[in-house]
Amino acid sequence: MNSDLANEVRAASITGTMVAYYFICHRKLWLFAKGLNLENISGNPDVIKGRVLHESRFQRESHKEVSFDTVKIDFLHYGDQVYVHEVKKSKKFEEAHTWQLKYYIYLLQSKGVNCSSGVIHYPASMRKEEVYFSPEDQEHLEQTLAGIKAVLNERVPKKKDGRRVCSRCAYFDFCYV
Amino acid sequence: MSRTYYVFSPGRLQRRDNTLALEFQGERRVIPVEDVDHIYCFSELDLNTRLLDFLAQKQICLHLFNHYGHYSGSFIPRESQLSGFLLVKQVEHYLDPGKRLVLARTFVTGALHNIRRNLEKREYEDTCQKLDEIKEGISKTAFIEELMSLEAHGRKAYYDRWEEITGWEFSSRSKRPPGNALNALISFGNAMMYTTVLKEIYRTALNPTISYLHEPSERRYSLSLDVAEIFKPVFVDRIIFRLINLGMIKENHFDINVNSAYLTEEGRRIFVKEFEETMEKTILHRNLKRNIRYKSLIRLDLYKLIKHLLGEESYSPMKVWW
Repeated sequence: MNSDLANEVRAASITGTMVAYYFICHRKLWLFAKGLNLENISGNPDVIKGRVLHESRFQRESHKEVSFDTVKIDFLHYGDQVYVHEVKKSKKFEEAHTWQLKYYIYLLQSKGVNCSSGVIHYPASMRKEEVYFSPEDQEHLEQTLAGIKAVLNERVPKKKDGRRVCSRCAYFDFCYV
Repeated sequence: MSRTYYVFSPGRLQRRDNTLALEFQGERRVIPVEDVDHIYCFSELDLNTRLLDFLAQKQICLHLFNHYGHYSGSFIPRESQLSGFLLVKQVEHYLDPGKRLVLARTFVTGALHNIRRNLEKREYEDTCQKLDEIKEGISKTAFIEELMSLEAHGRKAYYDRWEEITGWEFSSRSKRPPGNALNALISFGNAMMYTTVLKEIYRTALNPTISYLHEPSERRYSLSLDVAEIFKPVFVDRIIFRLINLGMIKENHFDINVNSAYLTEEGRRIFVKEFEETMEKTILHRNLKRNIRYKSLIRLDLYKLIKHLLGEESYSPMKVWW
C-alpha cells in the first residue's frame, strides 16, 4: 500500500468521524474539523440517544475504545485476523458508516495489521452489517481522503443546503439561525 | 443538564453517592447531578476538591457572589470546546480597527434598538426620537471612544425615564456601590445577565476575553459584557419594571445606608426567581420556526457572531420582536 499517502493522512489528522461526515454534509465536516463541534452542546435528542447506546451496549467487550493515530475504534475482535466493530444508532447514513469503518481497516492495514473486515452494529434496531474491504475500496477511499483534505482547505464553510436531514442535525441551530 | 441552582443559605456542598448533596442546618438535600447546569452561590459554602473534580467531570460551573451580591468569580471546568481556528479569527477582528468597529457598532445598535422597544410601549416619543438620532450617529463614528460616548448618551436619556416608569427615586446611575434601591436592582440584574452570557460563551468555542466594544484589557470576561449589552434591556430592565410595577419587590427588600444600597437575601430570591422564570419562557423563532427558550436566544446570537467571525454572514444582533 501507498505509505506516503498513509503518512499524509496522519498529518492531516483525519478522524473516523470526519470520514463519515464527508458522506453526510461537507459543511458539518468543515465546522467539526475547525473545532466548532456542536454535537455535545446542542441537546439534540438523537445525539443523546447515540451516546447512551454507546455507553450502555457492548459492556463486556475487552478491547474497547482502541486509539491510535487520530482515530478511536469502538471495539476490536481478534481471530484469524483482526475485526473492527463500530456501534451506530440508526441506519440512516449507512454508506457513511461503512466508509468510516473502511477507513479504520485502511489505517490498520497501513500499520501491517492483518485486517480486512468488520461489523457495524445497530443495536437500536437489533441489526448488524458486515463490511469487507476490497482492493477497489482502497482507491475510492483514497479519493475520499483527498476530497476531505480539499474541504478542510476551504476558507469558509460550504453554504447550508436546506435538505430535509438538516432539521434533525445537531448543527441545525447554528446553520439556520 | 438544564437547570440552574441557587444557594442562598450557608452550608456544605458535597459529592455524595455519585450525586450532589447540600447540607445546611443539619438538613441534607440531594440534588440530582444530571439536572444541574450551573450553581449560583450567594452565601458561604464549604466545599472540597473532591466536589470540584466532580463538578468538572459533569461540566457544571459554580459561580460565587460575595456578601453584597457582587460577582466574585467562577469555578469553570476545563474547556471542552476549543478551536484555535476561531481564536485566530476572533483576534483578527480585534486587531483590524475597521473590523473591530463593525462589531462594536453592532453591539451598540442592538442595545439601543432593544432599549427603544422598552420606551416605545410607554409612548415616550421625545426620548425615542433622541435614541434614533444617536443611532444615526453610530454609523458615522470612527473610533471606539466616540461610539462609547454615544452609547452613554443613549443610556442616560433612557435612564432619565426610569423615575417615571417605576415611580422610584433614581437620579442617576451609580455603581460600586449602587446609591439607591433602583441602582442596586440594576447592578444585581446586570451581574446576573453577565454570568448568564458567560456560561453560554463557555458552551461555544469563543474566547470570552477577546471583545470588541469593551477593551479586552478590562481583566474581565469582556466578550460577555459586549453580548450582555444586547440582552440587558430585554431581560433585566423588563424584569425590574415588572417587579416594581406589580409590587413584588418593595423598599424593605433593600439594605439601605447613607451612600449605598443592596438587595437583601429575600430581595435576591425574588429577583432570581423572576429571572429564572423569564429565561425559561419560550417564544416562536422566525428563522428556526420552532419555539425556543429566552435563554437560548443568547446562544443563537453567539452562533451568529461565530458566523460573522468566520466570514460567512454579517452579525445582526437579536432585536426584540415581541
